[in-house]
Amino acid sequence: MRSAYHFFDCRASYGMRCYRAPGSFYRKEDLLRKMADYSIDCALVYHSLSKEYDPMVGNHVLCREIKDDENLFPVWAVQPHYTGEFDTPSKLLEDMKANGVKALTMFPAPSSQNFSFAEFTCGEIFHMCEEHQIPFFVDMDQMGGIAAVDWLCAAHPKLPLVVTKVNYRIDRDLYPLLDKYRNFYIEVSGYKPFEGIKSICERFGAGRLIFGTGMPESAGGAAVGLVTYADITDSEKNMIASGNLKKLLGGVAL
Amino acid sequence: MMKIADYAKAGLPIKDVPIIDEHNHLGRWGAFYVPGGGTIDQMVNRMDQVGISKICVTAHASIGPDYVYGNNLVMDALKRYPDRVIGYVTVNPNYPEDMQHELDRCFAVPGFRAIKFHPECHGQPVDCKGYEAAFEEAEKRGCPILIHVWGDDAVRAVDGLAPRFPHAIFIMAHMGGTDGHSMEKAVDVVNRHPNVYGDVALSRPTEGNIEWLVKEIGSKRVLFGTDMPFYDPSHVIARVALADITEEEKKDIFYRNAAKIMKLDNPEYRK
Repeated sequence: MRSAYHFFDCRASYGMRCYRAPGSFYRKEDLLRKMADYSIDCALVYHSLSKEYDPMVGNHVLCREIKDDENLFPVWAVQPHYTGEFDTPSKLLEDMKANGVKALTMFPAPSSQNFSFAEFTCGEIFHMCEEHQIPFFVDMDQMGGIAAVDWLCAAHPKLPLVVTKVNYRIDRDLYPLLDKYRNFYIEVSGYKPFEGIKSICERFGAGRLIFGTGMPESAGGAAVGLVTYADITDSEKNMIASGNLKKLLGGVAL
Repeated sequence: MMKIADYAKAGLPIKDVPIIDEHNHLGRWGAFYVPGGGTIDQMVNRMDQVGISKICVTAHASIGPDYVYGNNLVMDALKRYPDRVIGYVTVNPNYPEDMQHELDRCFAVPGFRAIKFHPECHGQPVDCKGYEAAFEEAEKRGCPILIHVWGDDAVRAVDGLAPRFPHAIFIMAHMGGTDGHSMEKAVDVVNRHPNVYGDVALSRPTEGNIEWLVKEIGSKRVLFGTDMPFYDPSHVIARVALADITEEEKKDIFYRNAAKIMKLDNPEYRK
């Protein structure tokens, strides 16, 4: 049976990784199979090479490999351009247009690509995303914690920021940030407080939450259940499942 | 007839399968906000929304600073919802002089059926001497001990304890937790000791985790636990419901295994 809701996953990936968790997949075909099992219609995806090896390599491998998959949409990982390893924002924008890329991500943590998640390194990228309304997805642990939202949203109030891979312990910081800034969203796969989605919807509205699975690093079925079993209206569930993400992607102006 | 997965996709409470959730808490927690305070009334309401029949409960206060206060909260929950709640007597190895008294006090109350340790919160290893009275009590009663098992050291400790107390039932909460390496070790311990089980309460499980556990140890010693209200039960119930395993394996995990170790003799659990 198909789900009663239309799911659009904002945070999936595939490709071989340095460490593969027991039982998890890495092939694109397995991602597509899992999406079908969980009744997920489509997904924004990045390639593991973009995170664990080199974003220039991974981004182009991704576009080549998913060009015939109608339900997979590319997310490119970006790096600061100053060393010459990565394109300048203007060249990046040209390539995004040419490849139909409407979303970006970044892996700056010391254990990943090891650069500062800061204005002096990434400000030009944030500015480009603001100007062109490109959704920018970043894992909470990659940005050094949820508190980084404060300086980032203050410096870039029009940046469509989606914080991914959050945990269930962040509400004491998250609530004041949701009150203070309107331009950031929480991806739900890690957001698991008891009745947490219901509380966010009641206080801040369903428009602040976006469905993502984090597959294969996280369990896709778990993310589906967070939404289907949330004690909220069907209309709110559909906003979270796909409506909010479609709205963000619809606003991109390349 | 709907399959178990269909309920989760539709967001409907799972029916025809009497789900027993063997890993729950109760109340507030110091390190983060629990919306609404995690009261027993909220929890029972949430159980009805997702389809959980019974929960086995240890209060947050008990795995935190005051096990007496916490065990009293569980007593109150047992009185108010005797058909929905099963109690864990939670003990703290830093107070060994009171342990037997607390075990006797709680086990005298109908509904307490097992023991809970949280060695990490109480700053002691799983196999510390302070727990000795509780191990002996579990051995005498043949009852489960739910132990927070997070990391290789905790898994190794269970490996040593299980043959020493062969009538006690050891539940490794989180199946070793932390990462795949510890889980692989936990799986090995389950496979070598018939009195060791593991539960699926995880805040960040990887894709395919349930299928892998069932492949490695079978479905008979995997227990359904949600950790409610530490986090919401929805994602754990959907993870099992949507897993690529058989309906019979899902039933083992959802209730048959817990009914067996908690000695629940309702005929509905034998289906």
